[in-house]
Amino acid sequence: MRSFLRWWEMNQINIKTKAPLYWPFFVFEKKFRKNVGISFNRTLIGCMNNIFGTRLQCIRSNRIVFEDLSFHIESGDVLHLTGPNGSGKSSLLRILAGFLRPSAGKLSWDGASEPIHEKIQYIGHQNAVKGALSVLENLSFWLQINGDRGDQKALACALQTFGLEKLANLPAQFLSAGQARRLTLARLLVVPAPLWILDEPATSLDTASEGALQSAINGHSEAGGMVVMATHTPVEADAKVLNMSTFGKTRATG
Amino acid sequence: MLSQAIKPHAMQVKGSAKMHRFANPTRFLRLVSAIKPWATGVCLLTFAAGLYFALFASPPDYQQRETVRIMYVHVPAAWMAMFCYAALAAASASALIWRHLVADMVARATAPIGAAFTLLALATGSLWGKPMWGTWWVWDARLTSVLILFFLYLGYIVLNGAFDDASRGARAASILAVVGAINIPIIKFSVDWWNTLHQPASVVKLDGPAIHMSMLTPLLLMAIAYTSFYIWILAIRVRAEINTSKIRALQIRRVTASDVPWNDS
Amino acid sequence: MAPFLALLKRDLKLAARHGLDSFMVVAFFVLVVTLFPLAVGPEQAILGRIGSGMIWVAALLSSMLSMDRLFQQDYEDGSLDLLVLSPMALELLVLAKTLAHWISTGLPLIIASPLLGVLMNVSSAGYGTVILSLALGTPILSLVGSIGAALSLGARRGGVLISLLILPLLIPVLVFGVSAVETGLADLPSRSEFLILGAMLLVALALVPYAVAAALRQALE
Repeated sequence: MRSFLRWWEMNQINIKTKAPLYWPFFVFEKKFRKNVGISFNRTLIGCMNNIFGTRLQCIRSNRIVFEDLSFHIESGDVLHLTGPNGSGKSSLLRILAGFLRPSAGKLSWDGASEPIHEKIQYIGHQNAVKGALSVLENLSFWLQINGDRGDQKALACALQTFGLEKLANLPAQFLSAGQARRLTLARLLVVPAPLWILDEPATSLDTASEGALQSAINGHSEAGGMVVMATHTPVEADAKVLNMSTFGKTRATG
Repeated sequence: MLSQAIKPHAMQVKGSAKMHRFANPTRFLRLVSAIKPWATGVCLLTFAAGLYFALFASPPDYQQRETVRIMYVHVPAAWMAMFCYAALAAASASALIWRHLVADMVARATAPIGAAFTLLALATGSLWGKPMWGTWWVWDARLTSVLILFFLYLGYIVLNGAFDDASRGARAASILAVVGAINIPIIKFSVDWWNTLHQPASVVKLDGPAIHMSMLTPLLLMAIAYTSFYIWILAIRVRAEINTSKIRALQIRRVTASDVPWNDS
Repeated sequence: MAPFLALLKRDLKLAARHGLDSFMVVAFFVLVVTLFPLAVGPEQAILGRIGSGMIWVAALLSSMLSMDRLFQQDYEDGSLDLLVLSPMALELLVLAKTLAHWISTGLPLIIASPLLGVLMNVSSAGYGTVILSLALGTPILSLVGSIGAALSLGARRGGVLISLLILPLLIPVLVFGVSAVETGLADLPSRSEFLILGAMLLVALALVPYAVAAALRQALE
């Protein structure tokens, strides 16, 4: 029974990501949620073992951003992307999230050639915060849109971790830049996913919040999650680093 | 319009199936160079023959007199207006489905040619309408739908050039072309419906009795001339586009070689 | 289904809190119709003859006016990235957004249309058909308009661009919308026009989300 459900689950993911026949899907989704339930759904998709990138190349507006870039991450890894502006950190992150396709090379997420949306949490440059909604409304919207209905505990916990619990009912337009960033980061804890893709997550954070972010990242990696993040700040000596500036060079001179 | 999506490294990459498409512009360029002189020759010959038959060797119509000769310019233009949109939609669809660079370029090169044919059809139709109907323009079903087709071309061209990143414009415009192609039969149907509701009695129907051989010959010759003209211009435009992109690639490579901050470190 | 409703609810909430959008669309709608008598003269007979057509043209223009807001804000603040990444089929989310847009802009147009019928001297027998034709037609305007909104994301001059791209595609809706009202006014059976409008709505409902989702995905590349 369990293996059947696993097969079902995989199929369902395929239906969602690959062939969005959305009318039949409407019906399926409802039935599935009723019978199997959310929690089961979450534990099953809650792991990801490895990501391989082989000889990736990225071209943006006729310019080779990077090429011949290979890397691999395993469960528990935190990969820092460093390099100057324009060296392709954001592009690589967007490729990893599946927004962009590499113009050459291969990527595999646990052996699959397409990323599974449930397994990815993406934090981009922008905060995706709606000013007209309150902090809590913003956060619970992203919870609902990812298929979970009202896990209030996770919400409260995330707000507390990033020091937002007092601001919960404040319309987000009154947040400072740092507070808005924290609200964005709180999404990581509300909607669990094994792979975190963070594009300069510490932008406009104060030291205390940076600490909270760091401990969230550590906790995630200890629980077997993966983190790929672009960063400007110097990283610790033993951290896993991918220096993007080494991949723009070959073609430029050759 | 001539800015393009072709990748600068098109010529260097080899190997896996994924790269196969990058090699294509070169191969296509060879095909284009082979076809172009033939298209040019056929176009010039049939144009000369077609115009001779149309202007001198065919009889005037018993009703329309000499004005019927406008038909030989007008009707093939209207045909080409539709043919070019079909080509545009087909190329756009294959560009979307297979992410085919050449299809993209063909679509982009086709659009202005198609728009020009459409404009020609409208203008000659209007010139023909003045002696026939006594007015430059009537809201006839056919004229109206050709006018709408012209707007569809304009939308495609404008959307194509509306982005800073040319490849985004190309993709967005391809989606528009496909949507437009699905919509064209509905538009045609609705315009016909509208016209039968509002039809003024005085409009002369164009499709009279079966066309005589002496008129069919120049008409077909002109049709061949127009089609080969399209292929000729298409070849020129696509080649220009490929060359422009090569030049741009070279420029970019030169810039990247000197300006990149990490190059010196 | 839950994400669909969540997105619908959020967009309606945003529309309600911004408030002015719906108001602006209705104001523009009334204003455009007001311009016609000023241009063609106040003669009651003429206005009654062309009234239904004017109402439809004004509805077409004003629904285009609000179109560029549909995805623009989500695109700029990064929400669109997350919507695309959500496990729900993007096609369905597109439908939710379009539905919210129609409720906040299309529905007010329908409600305001009888008032314009009075102003334009459309005979009172025609109010029902005007409302019904707009009720079937405005969702098509929103759906097809959303293609334009998605295609013009990130383009220079998005707003004007949408109208240029989409208005030609909406000509069938205009033709059948107006002819439904006119045949109704002439006491002829207008059932077939309404059926065709309904058919167009169903076709748009079935196909448009795919085009919009494709356009959104390419906009994020």
